[in-house]
Amino acid sequence: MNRDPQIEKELNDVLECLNTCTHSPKGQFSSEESFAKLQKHLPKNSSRLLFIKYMSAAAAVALICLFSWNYHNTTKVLADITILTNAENKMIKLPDGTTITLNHYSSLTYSPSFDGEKRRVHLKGEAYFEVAKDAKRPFIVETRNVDVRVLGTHFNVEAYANSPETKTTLLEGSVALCNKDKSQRLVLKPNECAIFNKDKGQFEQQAISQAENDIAWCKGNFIFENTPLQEIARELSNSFNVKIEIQSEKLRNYKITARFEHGEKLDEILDLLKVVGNFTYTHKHNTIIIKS
Amino acid sequence: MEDSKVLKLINKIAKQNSQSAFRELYDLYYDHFFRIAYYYLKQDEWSQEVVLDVFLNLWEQRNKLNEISSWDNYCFILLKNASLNLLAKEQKREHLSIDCVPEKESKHSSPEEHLLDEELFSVYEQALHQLPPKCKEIYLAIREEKQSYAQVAEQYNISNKTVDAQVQKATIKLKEKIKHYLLNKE
Repeated sequence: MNRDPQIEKELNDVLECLNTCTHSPKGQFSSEESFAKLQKHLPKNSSRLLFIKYMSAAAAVALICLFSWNYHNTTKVLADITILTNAENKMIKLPDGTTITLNHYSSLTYSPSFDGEKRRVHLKGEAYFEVAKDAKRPFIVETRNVDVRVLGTHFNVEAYANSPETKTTLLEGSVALCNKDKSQRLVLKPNECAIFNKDKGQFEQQAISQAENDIAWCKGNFIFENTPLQEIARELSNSFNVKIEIQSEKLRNYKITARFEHGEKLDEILDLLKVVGNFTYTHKHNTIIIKS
Repeated sequence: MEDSKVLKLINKIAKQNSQSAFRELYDLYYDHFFRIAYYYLKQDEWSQEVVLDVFLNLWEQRNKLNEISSWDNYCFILLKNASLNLLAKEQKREHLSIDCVPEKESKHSSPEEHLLDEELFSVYEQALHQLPPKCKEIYLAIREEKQSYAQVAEQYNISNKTVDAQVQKATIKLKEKIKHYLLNKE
């Protein structure tokens, strides 16, 4: 291309003008944030439009049509797959070879075809990921407040809806984290964790000595090493699906070291902890209240 | 090639009603669409509204999407019409139209007048959209958002030199397309 200075200058001027004539969406207008608004208007699954059409016909006919359409539809269109757990862990194997262990009271959603440019799953609750390597297709874990992006690695994500914190712990490889409006990014190294606090809107990065402790739950174990009672309570409450309230500030920060590796029940765990932590607890409806 | 990937997605949406393919298309085009809408509207809320309307519209006519011959031009026109309709509805049209709808007979003698040309804008925007995603993001961060090299380097965990290389790469591509357009126009 010839580099006539006159033309070059004019091109630069034009480009400079063009650089000011629009801008990219940010924050609440970003593509991630906006999708929720669009989704409200999309059908839950694609049979619904026909469903409405058929419902206006006679009830019996409509029902038959509905059944036959649904049958037809499920054989042809693949809806997203959601896997839920209650008081048990589940192992999931994805089509790309990734294995996921889903903790208690959690859910994982993904598209069955899983064949796009990105491998994308949505997590509520906690899961441990061993992602199959695929340098061309990043694997993305979306949670309510944080997105975790990896190529192939081992890591744990804790994102229960009732907690303001989302914790990501890396065991192997490397992961990149960002919040929803992508204003904050962060890269973790092995044996580091990042806690995103929704209320503060910030990541806190920490080195940890034993990243394996964060996935002890995979084997049904709880390993607490110098862990504040507050955090122990959060883990127990997620695993056993009860609310746990600690009524004294001092107790909340009281640090305890303990291991439970034999499938202990909640009461057995609390009976032991109360001796170490010098507290009492009572059941009230679905809540456990801890007092000194 | 970008185009064949988009065509594949469109086919999947048109023939299988695939919402996951639609989501991918959305991710690929949302920012691009938003930038076009914002060019006309100069308002974030309106731009978002228009873009989501256009996507909804695309979904509703999904079974015909594979009949569209020039996808990028088609979308540009959809966005332009939706934006101008909204402007008319908001009765702001008089106020803004001078910037938006160029006088066809004007002679393009100065850069300022090129800016009024929405065709030029469309060339620019499509050239941007065809850049590798990271290259585009970095270029916009530096040239449009006027962030510093150091800021961008830190955010992407790359060196200042790499930031500069990406900006230069984008600049060269953009200028090429703009030059080609301007020369062929006369």
